[in-house]
Amino acid sequence: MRECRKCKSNEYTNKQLVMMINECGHPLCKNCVDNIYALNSGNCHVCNRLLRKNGFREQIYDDPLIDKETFLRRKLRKIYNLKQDDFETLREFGDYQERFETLVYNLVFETDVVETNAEIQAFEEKHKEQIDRNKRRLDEDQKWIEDQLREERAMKSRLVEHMETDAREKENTTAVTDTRAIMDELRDSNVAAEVILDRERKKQIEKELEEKDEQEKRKRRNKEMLQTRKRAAENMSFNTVIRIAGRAYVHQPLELVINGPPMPNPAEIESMGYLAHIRAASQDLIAGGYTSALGCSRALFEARIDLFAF
Amino acid sequence: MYSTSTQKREWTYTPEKLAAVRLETNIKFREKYESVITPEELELFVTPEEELRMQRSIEDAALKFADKFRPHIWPSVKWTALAFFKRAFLVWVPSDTSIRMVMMGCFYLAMKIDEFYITIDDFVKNMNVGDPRQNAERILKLEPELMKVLNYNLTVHCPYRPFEGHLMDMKTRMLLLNFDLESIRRDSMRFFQNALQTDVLLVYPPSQIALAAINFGLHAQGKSDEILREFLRKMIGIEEDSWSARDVRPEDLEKLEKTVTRVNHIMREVEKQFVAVTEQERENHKFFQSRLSQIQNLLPILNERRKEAWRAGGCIGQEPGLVTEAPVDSDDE
Repeated sequence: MRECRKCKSNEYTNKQLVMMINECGHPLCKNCVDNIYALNSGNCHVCNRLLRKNGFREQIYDDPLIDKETFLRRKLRKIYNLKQDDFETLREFGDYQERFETLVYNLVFETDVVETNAEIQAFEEKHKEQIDRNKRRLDEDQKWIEDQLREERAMKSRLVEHMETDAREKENTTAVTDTRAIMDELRDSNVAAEVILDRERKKQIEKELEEKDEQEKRKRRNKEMLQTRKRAAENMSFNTVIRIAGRAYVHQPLELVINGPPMPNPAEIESMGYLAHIRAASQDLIAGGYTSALGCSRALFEARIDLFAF
Repeated sequence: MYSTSTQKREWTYTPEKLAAVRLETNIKFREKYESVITPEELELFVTPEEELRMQRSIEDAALKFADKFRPHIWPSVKWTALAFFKRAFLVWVPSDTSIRMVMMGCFYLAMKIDEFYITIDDFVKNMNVGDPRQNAERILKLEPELMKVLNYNLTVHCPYRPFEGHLMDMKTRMLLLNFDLESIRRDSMRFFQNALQTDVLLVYPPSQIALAAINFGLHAQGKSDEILREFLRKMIGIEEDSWSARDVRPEDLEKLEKTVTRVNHIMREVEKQFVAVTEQERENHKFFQSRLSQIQNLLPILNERRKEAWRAGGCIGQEPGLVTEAPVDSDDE
């Protein structure tokens, strides 16, 4: 998990966390960079090196060491861009490549930085002409990649063209047979020509409508898919905030369908004197949780349930 | 609660539907043996009407058994048992089972369901026919089959508690009656006893049957329907004053009238369907019993014939008489 060493914010607490890195290879989050380097220059919070704000770039690789290396490599490549044919023997080219690796290593692990930089400068001055020339030249690998890409693009366009011609041909044949059939019919049958033409026209219109429908459907489906994906992306959250979704629960008391005369409520059972007509509950029954009102209401309920079921 | 019960959903019929179900059960039983039976043997088979008469006389005997039962059982056991019995014979036919034993099984099951605790030994002591050990064995064997045929719908809503409810309501709301309401109880209980030998418990909700019992008791005391009407008016909340009666919702009045009609209908129905079992009937019953035993003796032979026909037909389909066992969820395994 990525985490800023300075302010301790990480991907979970901050969804939009962006890590930055400078040439010394100590990552910082964007907020910290904005704060610390508000005056465009300041010291690195780890190694105390003087850094400039515009030297910060977005960290691509999670490991700062690798990020630093790729960055340096890219930078050095601009100077060390000699190709194989700039050397007389293969061995010389190999030595050159090996030297390049050593330089990268030195810079990454910051050993003999001063000498290394001096060597790079010397190399640049010495091969200035070649470097300038090679800037526009491509080496074998790059050429190969370009070729591959070009071929792929060509293939794609060929395929599309093929499919298009196929579809067109199909359409043509059906149209042709259709017209031929119609002409035959016009010639042979006794039905009035208007009727036949009308029918054919109707057919055509229907077909067009169908196609239109189909297209619209496809469009709608695509749109929906996009929307759902978007919604899903929006709803994804690493925050601890609880989202409030949907309607709030509203309690509705359950309705008891008696299908009979209304039941007296417990208070009425007592006040109306129902209890005078039922055996009084004994001490131990009351201790067990039974009251005479309970027995009374049960009898009354059963007397009412479905009394009006006809 | 009755309105959501299996009793209402599964075991309540209209009178026509009830007759149709009985006829269908009977026909199904006949069809089973149709291909192998001889005309003389067919004579032995009973009609749905005869089956019903048989059921009634068994019910009559069962009620006597219940009244003599020691320790005394409470009435809802009777009601539950007879409900089980009537339900079971919508699926079974008397010719196929021992109808008396089924009745005993129903009583034993009903006692369990109604929390009337009794051991099987004490139960069979009350039976005056047969060897106690054998009886116990047969009843216990019958019990799971009975539950299965009842589809495990074992709760029966009896009208006794609604009856108490109605009575309590009446005592509370009808303060101007010039007689003791308790006096109707004896006649109402007689009504329930009679109703047990009819089909009302397969047709009407218990609250209505209870109200019918109340009305029956009132009639027996020489009262008119007016008391019932008055009572219903008070329950529904219709004012008697003719001026405010205009404001009464018409559906309330309709409910009142419908209830009165329904109550009287149930009373008539009980009167019509209940036929006290006479000596003549008892004779008939013996005759039926002998006929039944004849059929039951015949059945194994018929089953054998069916099997032969099945073998002769090349053993196609399922072997007759085999019961397909449905998988049962059991904790035993």
